[in-house]
Amino acid sequence: MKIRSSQIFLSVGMLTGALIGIWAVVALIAGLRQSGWQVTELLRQYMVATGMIQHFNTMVDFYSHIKGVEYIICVVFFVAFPLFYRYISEDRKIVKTE
Amino acid sequence: MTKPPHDSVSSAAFSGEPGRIARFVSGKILMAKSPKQYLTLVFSNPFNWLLAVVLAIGIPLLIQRYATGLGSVTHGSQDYPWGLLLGFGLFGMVPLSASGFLLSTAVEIFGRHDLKPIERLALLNGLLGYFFAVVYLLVDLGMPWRLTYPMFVSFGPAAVLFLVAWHVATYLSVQIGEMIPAFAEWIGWDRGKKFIKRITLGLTIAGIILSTLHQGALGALFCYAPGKIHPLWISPEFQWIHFFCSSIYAGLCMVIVVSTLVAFFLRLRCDENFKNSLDRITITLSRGAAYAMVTYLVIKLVALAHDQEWGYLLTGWGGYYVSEMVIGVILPLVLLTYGSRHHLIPMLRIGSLLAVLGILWNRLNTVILCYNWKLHQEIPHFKEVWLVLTILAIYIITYRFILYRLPVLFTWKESDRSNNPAR
Repeated sequence: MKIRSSQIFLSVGMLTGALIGIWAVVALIAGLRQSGWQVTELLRQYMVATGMIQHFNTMVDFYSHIKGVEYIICVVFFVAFPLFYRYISEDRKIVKTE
Repeated sequence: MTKPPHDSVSSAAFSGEPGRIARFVSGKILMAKSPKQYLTLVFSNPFNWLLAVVLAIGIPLLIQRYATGLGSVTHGSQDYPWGLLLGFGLFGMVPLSASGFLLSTAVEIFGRHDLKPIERLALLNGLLGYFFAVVYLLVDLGMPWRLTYPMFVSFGPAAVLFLVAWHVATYLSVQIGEMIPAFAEWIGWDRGKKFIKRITLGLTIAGIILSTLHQGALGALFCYAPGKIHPLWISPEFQWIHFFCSSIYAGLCMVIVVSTLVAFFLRLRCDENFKNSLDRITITLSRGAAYAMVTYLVIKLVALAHDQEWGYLLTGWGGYYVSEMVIGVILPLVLLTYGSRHHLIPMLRIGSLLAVLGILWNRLNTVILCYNWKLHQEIPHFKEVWLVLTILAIYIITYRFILYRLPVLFTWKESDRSNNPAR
């Protein structure tokens, strides 16, 4: 019973992942076609859509935006760095010199 | 109280007894060989012929630079005041010389005595890197007899250049002090070694303060002309920390590269302790470099966000910037991370070499290629390129000269002095 439920969970997960993957590839190709197959134009549209490139009317708007992005980067770093440290510091006994 | 055994050859040389100076030169400088034997040995190495060709063309060019001025050997102008001599020689060599303060801090302050076998090599790398950065600077500046003016006569404490000049001078003195024990062992000057040992902690702390400030100040120099440099290569609030943070992994990777070269080409000069611990030390240094690289990448990203420069990434300059980041930082980071975890020494060495080249690329981009990015591009004069190679050749000769003689790659034993006068 336990094995069957895990198999169902795995299958559903794989199916969902495949569907999302197909959707992402289709969206990417469609986006590229719409932007005349220019990767930088597609990136520009993405940055405009997400607000990374936008017009600011006041200094407060500008600072709120850049500080918001900076804080997100810092929080990700504070979480990722200990994980990176742990990954890299794991000791392996064998040393390959050749 | 018994007097410590002195090397009769070296100590006599300093007592000025006639005939003994010749013995000192023969025993220490010529490594127990006659001048003829020494020259035969020197010219039996094809690499020395290559160096001789570089010097044969370069030294007349050096004379030309001092006789007829900088304009005769460079394309320097009011638009491009900093050419290859400073771009490579000063801005490139200095971050690669951060090894000295990093390793001395690790060993003397943090007690990482497992890194002791490579400490002197790192100190020597730092000392020679800084010294030759000054040589490059003097070739660029000219009139070395007027150096006293910015240093003592005409103070400019508000200028970053004043800060840089004093930092270089004082830190160079500290590094000479840190290398004195090796020199003292070589010439048999026990008092000098004992004195430096007493002040090692002070020297190390002075080294940390001066080097940290100096690496940052080099970045701050670009804040003189923020509008001239492409926005992706300058971020006035973060420039100093970009330069400082990148110097950490540059120094560590440079030690890995140099230790690889000496382990291959100067194997006879490395003792068992150095050879046996090199792989382990390479892994440790690579880990340190990887931590610094991740931090550097994040600070670069923060600077992009702070200056709201995302749009520039979509231009041709942006593509160039991304390629510099990928080839010079991200690829070495991946190699160092994977290699450290799986203990793959060749991978760590390739990653370190890439990181060293990446740092040089970054500094040349900041100083030359992305400087005045809206104007014409400066292409360095071939004579300037040759001058850079000439000083680099002298740097390599000096480096090798010291490594062959001083106890840098081997631990000094008193018995060595009596058994082998070459050491």
